[in-house]
Amino acid sequence: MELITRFFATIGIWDFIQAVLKSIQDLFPKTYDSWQALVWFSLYSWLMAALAVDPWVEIFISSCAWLFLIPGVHWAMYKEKFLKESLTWGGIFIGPWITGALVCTFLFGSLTGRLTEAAFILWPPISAIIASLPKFVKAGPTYGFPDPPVRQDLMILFLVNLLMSCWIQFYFLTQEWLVEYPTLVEQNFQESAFVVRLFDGDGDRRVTSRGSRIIDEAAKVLDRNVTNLTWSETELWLRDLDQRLNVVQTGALDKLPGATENNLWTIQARVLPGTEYDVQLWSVWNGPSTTGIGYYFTKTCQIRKRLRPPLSGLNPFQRSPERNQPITPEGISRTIDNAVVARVTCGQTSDRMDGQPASATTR
Amino acid sequence: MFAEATFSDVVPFKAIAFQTLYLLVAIAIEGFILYRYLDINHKTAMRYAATINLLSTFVGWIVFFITEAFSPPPLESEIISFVFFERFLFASASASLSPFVIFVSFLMFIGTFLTKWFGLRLLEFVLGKAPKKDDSIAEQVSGFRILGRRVRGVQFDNQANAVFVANAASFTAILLLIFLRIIEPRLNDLWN
Repeated sequence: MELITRFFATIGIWDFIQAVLKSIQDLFPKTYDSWQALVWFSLYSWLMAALAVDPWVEIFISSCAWLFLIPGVHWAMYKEKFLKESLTWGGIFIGPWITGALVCTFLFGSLTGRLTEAAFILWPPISAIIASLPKFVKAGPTYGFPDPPVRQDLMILFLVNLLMSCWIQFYFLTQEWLVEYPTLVEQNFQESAFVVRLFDGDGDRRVTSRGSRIIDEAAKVLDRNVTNLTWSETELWLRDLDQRLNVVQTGALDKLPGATENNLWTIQARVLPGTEYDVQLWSVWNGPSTTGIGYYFTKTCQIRKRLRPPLSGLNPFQRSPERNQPITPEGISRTIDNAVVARVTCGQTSDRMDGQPASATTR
Repeated sequence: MFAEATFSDVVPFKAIAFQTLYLLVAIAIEGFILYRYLDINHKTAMRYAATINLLSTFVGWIVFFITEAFSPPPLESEIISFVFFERFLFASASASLSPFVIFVSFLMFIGTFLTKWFGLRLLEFVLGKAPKKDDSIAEQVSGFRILGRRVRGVQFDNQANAVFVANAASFTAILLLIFLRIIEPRLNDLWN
């Protein structure tokens, strides 16, 4: 027991507890013109805002809460020696940046209803303004421009903060790009001189590539368009494959969430020679990539003959409009032609392959 | 700007680190050159160099943001490719792109020089130091004869001259750093 007491005494735990108790005591205002009073007003306003029913009243009261909190916190950081010392890093008092963060959260987060980019972008310049305000106050107190050496320091302070603001803006610009070009996320940014990925930074991200989703959708469009066409219609369709690709491509891309990058994906296809008929599909990425030469996925769909499935118990060879017609050789061949339709089965999508497909039809 | 803030784990820390490094190098070099060329002490020269370099960096970012906002999709793809993958799109395209890149680099050099020069004048005005009229060395550098007639070049005062030399020196140093960064992985490949 004595040992424990001595241990606590050595690390100054009693002093610490006393200091904590003292600081808790300090949290309660002794006079009305103190930062504690402002913070308590603010807490009280928030409580009232939470009870308010009308949304406008709530916004008004919570704005009041912010307007009490911001000067309260600012005051506390200047007044309390402990806070002021612990917030001075490398000779720079960072209190104004905390006040600035609160001001930005209030103006561009609380009032706008959601946290906007402006709250982050304007944080450094607004904080710099807050930090420089005392320099414009002269003894008296009157207002005036500071002396030249202070002006020089202020200019550097403002420019550094504007530069930080640019960095934040650049961060949001890259986020915007990642939304507009979702395919970027599939790749690794190790070569980049600008961005890093904080989590699993090495290697590509394990996501289903947009390219393989696009080719799946393209195969579905092909399936929808060709299945149950008669064999001669199928041959006609495949003869004009190059013109049909537009339909396939827009049909496939429409199934995916819209993005600016969509026009950087193309669908290519060709009928493999010597087959009746194997159609090879490619989804090709022509946008930014690690290799700089794009990449593609490919998949082969087999189009085969089969008898038209019987509809409502009819004989496949018997189509209703021709039932009562006299049997002629042309009629028989037309009936047979109508009875043979196309069926589509698609294989697996290939892995991602770098470059452009060598043997695809160019569009 | 007033869009809702979105976040991901892709952050431009490398851009920030490299820009800080380049700025420190540029300020050190330019501060030294301004100290040698202008009649100011070391500390003032460093502060001047810091101010004009921060200003030109800030102006550069603004120009970049505006260009990006108004760039057509093909140019935007090139910018994205450069930012995320440190290359331009397609090997064949990069050949035709290189005159464009050289032209842009030239514009950057002239642009930063003009910004820094203007920034230095603005700074001296704000600090209440009127530029001296009599330290012009225009007569020595810009007069030359063509076909017997005296041709007057651009009137360069001492300040512009100092900023020009400082800008050229810091650009050279930064280019060297970028070059080292590019060849470093290839050197590693050679040695291993």
